[in-house]
Amino acid sequence: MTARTVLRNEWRLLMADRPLRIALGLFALLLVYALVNGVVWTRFQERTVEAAQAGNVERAQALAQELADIEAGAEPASRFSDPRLPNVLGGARGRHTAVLTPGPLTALTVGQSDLLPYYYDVNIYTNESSFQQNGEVESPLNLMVGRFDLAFVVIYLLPLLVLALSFNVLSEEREQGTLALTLSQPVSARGVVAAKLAFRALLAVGMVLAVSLVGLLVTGGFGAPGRILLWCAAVVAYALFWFVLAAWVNSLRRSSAWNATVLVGAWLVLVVVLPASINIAAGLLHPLPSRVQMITAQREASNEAVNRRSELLARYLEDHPEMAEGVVAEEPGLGALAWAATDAVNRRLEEVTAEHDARRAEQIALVRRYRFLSPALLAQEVLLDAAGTGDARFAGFQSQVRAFAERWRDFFVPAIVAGEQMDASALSRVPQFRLADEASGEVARRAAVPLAVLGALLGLVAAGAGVRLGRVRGAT
Amino acid sequence: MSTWRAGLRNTLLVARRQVGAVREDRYVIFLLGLVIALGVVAVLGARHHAASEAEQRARYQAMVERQWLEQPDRHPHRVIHYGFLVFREEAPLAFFDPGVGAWAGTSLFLEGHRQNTANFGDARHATGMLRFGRLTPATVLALLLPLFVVVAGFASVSAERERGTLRLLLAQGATPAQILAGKVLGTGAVAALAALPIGVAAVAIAGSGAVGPVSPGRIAGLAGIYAAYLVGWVLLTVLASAFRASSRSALAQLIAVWVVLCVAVPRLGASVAGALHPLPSRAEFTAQVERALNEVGDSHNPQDPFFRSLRDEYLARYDVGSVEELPLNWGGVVSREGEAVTSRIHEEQQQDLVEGQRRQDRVLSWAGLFSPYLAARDLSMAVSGTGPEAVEAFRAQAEAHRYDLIQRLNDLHINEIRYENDRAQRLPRDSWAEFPTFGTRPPPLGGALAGRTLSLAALGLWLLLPLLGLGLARTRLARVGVDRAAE
Repeated sequence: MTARTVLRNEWRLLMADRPLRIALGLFALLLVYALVNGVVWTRFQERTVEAAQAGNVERAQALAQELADIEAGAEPASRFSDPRLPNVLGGARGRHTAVLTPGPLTALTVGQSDLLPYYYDVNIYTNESSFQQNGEVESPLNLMVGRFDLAFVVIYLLPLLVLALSFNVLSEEREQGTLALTLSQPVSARGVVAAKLAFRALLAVGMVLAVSLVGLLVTGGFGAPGRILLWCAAVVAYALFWFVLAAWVNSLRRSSAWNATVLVGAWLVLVVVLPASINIAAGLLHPLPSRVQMITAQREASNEAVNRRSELLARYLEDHPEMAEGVVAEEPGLGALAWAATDAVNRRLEEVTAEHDARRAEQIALVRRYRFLSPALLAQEVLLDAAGTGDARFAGFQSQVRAFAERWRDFFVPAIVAGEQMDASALSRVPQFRLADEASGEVARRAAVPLAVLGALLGLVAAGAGVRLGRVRGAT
Repeated sequence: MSTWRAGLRNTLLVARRQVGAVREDRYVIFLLGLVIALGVVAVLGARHHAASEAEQRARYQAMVERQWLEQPDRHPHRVIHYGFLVFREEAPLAFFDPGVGAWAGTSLFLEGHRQNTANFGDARHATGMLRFGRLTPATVLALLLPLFVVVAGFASVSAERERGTLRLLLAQGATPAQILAGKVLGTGAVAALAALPIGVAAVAIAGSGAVGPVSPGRIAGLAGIYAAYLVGWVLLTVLASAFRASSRSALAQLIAVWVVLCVAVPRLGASVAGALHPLPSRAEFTAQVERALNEVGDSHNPQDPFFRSLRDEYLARYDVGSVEELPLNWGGVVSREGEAVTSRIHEEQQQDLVEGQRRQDRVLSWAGLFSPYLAARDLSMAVSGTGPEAVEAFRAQAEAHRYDLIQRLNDLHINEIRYENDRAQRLPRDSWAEFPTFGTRPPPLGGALAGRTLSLAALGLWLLLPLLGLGLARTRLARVGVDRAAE
């Protein structure tokens, strides 16, 4: 038997099975639908990001025009919105929207991108509480149900297809009495099962990867080959895990019905029950620090600061002696006073938030250990991370925006404290946000552990199946 | 009378046979133990989670109220900017079905000039793992119990046929209807055995008052919803078992149905809803509100036409020449009128957004016709008081509270503060004690259910269709698989 005849025979056999044919067709349809969904979402995010960037340019142009007019002798529209004031130019009117471009593989994995904010308005008043804004204005019901994207199809439905294709690779031959015949030829049971599963894996994984590649073609996501490789690796490893699990169950030499029940049970436990149980156990064993406490602490901080303005100004000038020159010693300007209070609030907020974030990170690190219990959790982590829609990329974006807000303040605050005005030349020097997207290497480093564990699981089950199948003889 | 009695006896006999068959199946007994254990863990876990959240919220709400009262002598406009913080209280039954709670904001800052959105949803703070859902009593009942029903009942009729005992039963005078009814009863009894511990634990917690007052109507409603939902699964399982050629194909088909109804259709529905009724991005929404506000005017700009005509109106009404001569504080009037206008615009925009979200939710309700899981969850959320309408009710109540608070402060500004040297004046601290406190009022049960006729109909259909199938096909019971056996 050449490889080609084996494959052709297998294909005929699969296609002769009507339910399986329907399942394969349905799976293909769902893959395409999931992709369309992901592409629509990617386009939405791209449009939003473009609009935000266009807004940055428009605002800067309008302010430049106004500044030029004022220089030419025109009166500002109102003394509260005079663009020469640094707290106006660097405030809400002159704000800069910092954006996170959609992850290169968002079309394949929507991930956390419908929940976490991917743009923030930055101005001199940006502080820790600005990062508490929500993501998109999604219906909470939709968020709860989740998106129908390729990652969902891979994590939930692909295992079921794999099981439908392979729960009876060996047991059926025995039940139909063809096993003895097959094994009378110069092939081993291990070889037969391996060949059959390899063909089925090629079919199932091939469908997913083909649709993924189409998605990347449509959205132009080939810019990050490292991410694509990781995504494919996760799909392949996860799918193969289910194939070898089926092989192992087959090697136990029970009936096809028993195999099916056990495999579906395994799917239910690993994909549905364990993750949900971990999520509830996590809340009990490692509760996240109270967010409510942080909000109230933030609020306290801002009130205290407002009540102690002048005292704070003195301390601010002590900390920033370079700014003291601009402030007239006997009568500090209103802007300087206000800024001193703002700065104190920011400092306090940073303290409170840093403490909260540190405790949150601790708890999350503890919870994340449990993901090794389920291949579905491991696969999800890599699929999200590779797509650039996981928690890490959003956290990285947020810390970049935090640093950018700091630069923004450094640019405007000296003028505010000194009570100076700004002009068009200052506008051209205003800081711009440039996203330093994480490198593929960094993503790969993060994904290495879950992928390795997934691979080890796969290897372990494969070895067990191999050993047991090696003992199968036609006579049994 | 005697035939009626004989019928009942036959039905109970078959039911007892079914329970006996299940008792001998170690696999099913193991699953029964697993489902019960998961259910009890879910009840206790969810109860603990809900209790600690509720305790925290209550503690900090009390703290915010105390801070409000402890404010020093202040200018009322300073208090408008000081604002107030409210927390969304979860409904008492959130421990049973948390609904969309984790996916909506929990705290809302109330201040003058703007409507903030509720921040700090649970999900924002957790990791992507939360996408797999949390094990809650509602999840166990709606998602896992149906599978247990399938495993306990897929062989109910088909095994009798495969062993040849079905013919025996028929020959002994049991009618197909009696056999099917008996199998439904038997499988139902096993399902009830699995569901009961969860129900009892949940009712005990709700009844103890530890989570807050729960009306018996809500408990009865939940019991009814899940009973109907599970009975539907029992009927469908027996139907498949009776009319598929073999136990094996019945099991395969039932599992496929479960995957489609409980896993695939909900997500399909949500994505179709998003595609049919797209929402604006947050940036777009903010820009829309800004544009609408700019059209009206800028209360900080004295040259603004809206506020100029307002001033002329007041000058004419009190027959004076300038705002300084008005018997009330003009600054306060501008603030009050400005607040009225901006609040109205914010509310209009917010209503548009909420309407968009409702349209999406309605698509999901329609999807409920194809997925009893969605319909049951929808009703369960409504009865538990944790659905999207509860989140919206909180927002609307908080906004009403905010508006009232700000306008009371503006009235103080108008009447208690003189126009000249406005900013230097203060109101005594005991003024702050005269403001109403805030408490979330969950939407009433009737209202929450009234908007869900579609889900109620879907659940009814879910009961009716398999029942109809059983009724219509019962005469074929003896013939199923006969051709195949003859081969």
